[in-house]
Amino acid sequence: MNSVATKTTYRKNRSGERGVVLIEFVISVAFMATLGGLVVNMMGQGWELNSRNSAVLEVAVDTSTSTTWLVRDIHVATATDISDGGGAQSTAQFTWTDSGGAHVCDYSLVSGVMQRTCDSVTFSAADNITNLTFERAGDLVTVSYAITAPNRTDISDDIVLNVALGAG
Amino acid sequence: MPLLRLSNQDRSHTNSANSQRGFVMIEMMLAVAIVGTAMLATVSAFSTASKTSKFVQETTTAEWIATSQIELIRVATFQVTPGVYALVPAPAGYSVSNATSAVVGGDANIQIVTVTVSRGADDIYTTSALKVNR
Repeated sequence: MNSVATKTTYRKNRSGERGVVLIEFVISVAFMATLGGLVVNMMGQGWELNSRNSAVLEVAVDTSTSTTWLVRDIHVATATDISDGGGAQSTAQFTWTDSGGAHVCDYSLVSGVMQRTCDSVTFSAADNITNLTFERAGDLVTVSYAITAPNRTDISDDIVLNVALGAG
Repeated sequence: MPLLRLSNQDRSHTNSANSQRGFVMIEMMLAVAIVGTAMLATVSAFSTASKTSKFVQETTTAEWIATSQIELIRVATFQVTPGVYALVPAPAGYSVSNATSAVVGGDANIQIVTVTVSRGADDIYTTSALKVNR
């Protein structure tokens, strides 16, 4: 019978079973530790990414919603209580009349929420708002505010929105 | 008898001494390839998600900058084509520009105003509106 005689690198224990030598054990532990480290690191990155994406999306939705309503209301308005050239103020009222009658829309900041109250119906135009101000220079109304994602101060948008009064 | 017999029987992993088998190279390579592919797919997914998040954030900001610029142009005095209008201040990292062009038909009192918002060297948002001299 053909056979190759060589020295074995494995030792057999008393019961005749082949064991694991130290170098194999060390290598396997190192390999598993590296693999485990990579997986934990990836999970951490995944969690951070998910948190960041949620925050970005929340700020984006609030930005889009608030700017859409502001542009719509200021465009359609024929009058406002914002003093022309009178500096910044924290609330604003826009009024107009159409086929449905006279309309009044108020904007204010209440507990971090930009509230839009139109014809006695109030809803949140954006959450997590700070520093809401309205200024007017002629027909140009400038609305400034900051939106910061909840629990993520690194995700924010400092908005300075110009809107032409009565342009729509 | 410390001899290892490398017979066909041994290669098929039927060690009569303990009927246990170890991993051969091809099995190890397959395992590493599978784990590597899974990790690569995960990293790729993270990268895509990160790019999408950046895109949403930049586009949202660019949209209100462009809206603000268009609104400023609405109330501005008409600039004869190819004039440009005063710029709105843009947040750090962003810049905004505008350009005017004539409409088809050549009415000098109507122009197309194009507003472009850039982030660094990249133009990330462009929008147009008509400006009328009245």
